[in-house]
Amino acid sequence: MDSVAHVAQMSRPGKRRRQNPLPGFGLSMGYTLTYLGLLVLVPLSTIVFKTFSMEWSAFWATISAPRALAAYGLSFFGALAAAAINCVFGTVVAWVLVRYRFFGKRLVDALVDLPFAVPTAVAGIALTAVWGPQGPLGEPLARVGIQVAYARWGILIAMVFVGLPFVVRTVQPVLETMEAEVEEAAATLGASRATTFCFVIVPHLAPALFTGFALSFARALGEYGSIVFISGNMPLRTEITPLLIMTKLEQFDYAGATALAAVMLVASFSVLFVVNSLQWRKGRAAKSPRTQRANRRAS
Amino acid sequence: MKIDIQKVSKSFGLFPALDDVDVTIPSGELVALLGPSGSGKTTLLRVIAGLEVPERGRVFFGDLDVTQSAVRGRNIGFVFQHYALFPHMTVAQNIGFGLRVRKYKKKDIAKRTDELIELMQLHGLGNRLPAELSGGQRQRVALARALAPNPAVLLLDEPFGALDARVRQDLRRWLRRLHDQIHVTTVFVTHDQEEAFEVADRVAILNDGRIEQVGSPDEIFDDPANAFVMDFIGGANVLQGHLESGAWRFNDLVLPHHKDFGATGSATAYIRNKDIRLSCAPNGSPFFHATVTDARRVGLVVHATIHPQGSAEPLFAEIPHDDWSSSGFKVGSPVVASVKRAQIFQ
Repeated sequence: MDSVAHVAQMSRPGKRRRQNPLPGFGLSMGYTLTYLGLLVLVPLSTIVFKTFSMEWSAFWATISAPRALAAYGLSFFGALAAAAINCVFGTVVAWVLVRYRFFGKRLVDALVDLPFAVPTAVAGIALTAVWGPQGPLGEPLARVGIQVAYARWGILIAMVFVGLPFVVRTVQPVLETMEAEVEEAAATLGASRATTFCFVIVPHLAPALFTGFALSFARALGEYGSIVFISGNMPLRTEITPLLIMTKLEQFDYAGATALAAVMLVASFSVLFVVNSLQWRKGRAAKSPRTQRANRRAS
Repeated sequence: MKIDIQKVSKSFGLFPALDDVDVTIPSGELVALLGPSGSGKTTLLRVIAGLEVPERGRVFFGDLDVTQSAVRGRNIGFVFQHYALFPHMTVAQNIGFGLRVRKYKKKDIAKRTDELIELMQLHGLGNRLPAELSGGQRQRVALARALAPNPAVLLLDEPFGALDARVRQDLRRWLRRLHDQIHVTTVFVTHDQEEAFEVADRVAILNDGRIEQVGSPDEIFDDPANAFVMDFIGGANVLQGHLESGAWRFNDLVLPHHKDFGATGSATAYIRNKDIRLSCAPNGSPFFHATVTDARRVGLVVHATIHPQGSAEPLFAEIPHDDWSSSGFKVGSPVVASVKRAQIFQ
């Protein structure tokens, strides 16, 4: 066993320059940066540059207009709520798909991806037909005084719809690799199903849930096609930010549109950054330098 | 707590994992379930734990019928083969989990956790995550976690299976010492007979979902119940002979037996390598004439291969090296092989 430790030391000759056992870092990293730069950074940076063509006061007036503020609020809180709802129900769907065997499981599994595949306009028309005042679901709700289509509820439903696959598809593989023994261990220690779920399963799923939340949030925030059909697009009430940007573009107010886009960009980047760093902190524990030290000691 | 298993059967699909199993595990004993893979030993352990529900039969803890009670109500400690530690919890949190779900006070949990960390020799590892431990340490954490709520019964599924030979050896002795300290009724599953005989007070040998024999290591070695047990323990020569007037015969070897076999017919004799002695002349034990065809020294014994007269099948004998060198036998020597003890099964 000493020889193992010895070899481990030999393979790390100096502290400053660590030999990476995987070759090609320079090439692949260069490729990654170029690729992300061309596809993501350059197009998005034009938003910022375009915005610079505005006067500061005009910029401020555009982004702080009551109609814009209402649109941000609707977009952000709607997307946050939709992501939260997806985290709960997406986990349930993933759970059912992983844990149980039932007739038509493959069909249900394929159904989950449908919101990815359907053109968003088609989804919008379908959702409006179902939830509209004459729709099979909208009509009974309208009778008890709840208006879904052409109201904020409709926006939420559309956002939940487009974000659902993200949570299911991030949680599902983690659940699949989770040892059933860990749950059995909790049961032998006296834990109920609910306790096991809260203290054993959810913490294990947390990194995947964070990712699912972030993706679902981002998707809902950027969603346009399905929402414009169901929301009714009333300024100050059911007008989302992407629609407001579209409106400005149609009025040839390019600078105004990019100003709003810049606000969206900064805000969504902040949210994604926070979620990712939370997730990074969670995942780090398992492979901290301390872990590697301990493993070396153990050998 | 005594465990009483009565007529338990369990199958997975068409495969019968347990077939009418009856076994009693006396309170405070350390019992090994030993058998080849697929013999049902793990299923039996999981039935005791409540992780599997038997199709027929009953399981009693003391006088209480627990057949239908849930795992979490049984007050057991279970150690899984691959530990099944909670990966996101530290060692201390893992050990304290059973107490936390029982709503113990934080102070009491900390006290008991410290006690177990001490007992399991895990000093200074309380804040580590399972991923930061070696296999042997993980196994001890799993054991500490199982013991923390003071279970009435401790169940271990191949507890040392995933560890390397030296760590196994250490942990084995250590488990024995631990059991002598805390005396909790313990059942462990293993496929390694050395492990079973070294650690356990009693060994239950399983085969094809049935119990073949339950007994102390001495009873099993000296008085194996049937051919399977004899075969499983191994290290014996197998001779096919026939029964004739109250004795078993193979060429010139005649072994008297006291079993209630039919008067005639074929039967198998198992003669351990150690139970064959070589000499120049008969010494009163049953014997046969043979020729030494090979002899190799292995440590303190000599492994001799001998060919009985009139038989093509070689037999193996283990002779203490001192005896061998004083006898002066060499390869090619004619010898009288006496049989100290044999087991005959029909």
